[in-house]
Amino acid sequence: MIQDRLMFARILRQLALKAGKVLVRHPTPEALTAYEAGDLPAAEAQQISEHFVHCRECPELLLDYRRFVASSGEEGSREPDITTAWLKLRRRVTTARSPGKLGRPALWIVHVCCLLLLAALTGLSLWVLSLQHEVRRLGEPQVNLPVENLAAPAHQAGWVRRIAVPAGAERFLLTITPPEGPPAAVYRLEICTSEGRFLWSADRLAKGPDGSFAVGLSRRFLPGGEYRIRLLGDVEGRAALVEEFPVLLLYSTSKMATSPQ
Amino acid sequence: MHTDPEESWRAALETLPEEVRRCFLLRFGQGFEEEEIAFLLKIPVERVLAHLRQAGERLPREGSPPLPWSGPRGIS
Repeated sequence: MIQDRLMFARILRQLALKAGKVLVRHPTPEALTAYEAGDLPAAEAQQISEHFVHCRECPELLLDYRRFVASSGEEGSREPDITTAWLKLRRRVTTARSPGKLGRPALWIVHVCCLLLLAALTGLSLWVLSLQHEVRRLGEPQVNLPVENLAAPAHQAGWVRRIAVPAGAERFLLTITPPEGPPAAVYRLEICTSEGRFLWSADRLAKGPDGSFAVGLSRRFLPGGEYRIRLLGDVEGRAALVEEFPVLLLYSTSKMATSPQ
Repeated sequence: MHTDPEESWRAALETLPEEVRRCFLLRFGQGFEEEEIAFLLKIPVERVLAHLRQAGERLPREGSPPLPWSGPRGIS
């Protein structure tokens, strides 16, 4: 059946081209109205009849119009006026396709989206500005940088090294001195929470000239609390724990003379 | 003599009177009902049926869609 329809469609196209009498453009609603009313000259009526054979929309429109007229006649219980019915139908179609009713909510949504985007862009800009300020501030020199040295503890149960960082000191320096023993080729430094959650590490470290390691830390990176700083050494290709330093960071909030300007 | 069914159909359709051809193509090309075709072409339904019958008699049987006088109507 489908093949039949396709074949008919092909034949229709060929016949239309050959005949050359098919309306290239759809007839206007006024022409259709006149055709329906029988007011068109015979030649024009023939053209519209032929157009129906090659066009699906126009005959459907005319049939819709007939149904509409029939329903109007039933509702109004009087003979419907053709022109009025056409105008009603066209108005109904125009209203259904009009962007007005559909457009208003869409425009409202666009406005809200624009406002949200603007707010997001403003927030992002402020965040970038604050980041720039923070980077500039961290890049500035800091005098009287607190320095704490971590040496091998006395291996007492519950031993914790308390490190008090004065107010105004964003950063502090930890020097870590490993215990005496056979030196490793390279070292690894790890910082974990007291519960053992990994926070940070640095690999392939070598001892400084004085036999220790220096680590610069900031209070933003390590808030106040207890941590474990582990030093591991590479012994025969395997990482072995050299020493673990439990530390308790205490940050002072009161202003001190060491605060930079 | 046309050997291609499509060619023979086209040739046969061209020989039909205009109104008969329109009725046939509106019925089996566009799928409109006889009563709708009558409304569209401004002719009585009986004339539409007569045209369709005439087209059925003059068109090739090979590749024919189900015609009103030979079984279920319409093109699905």
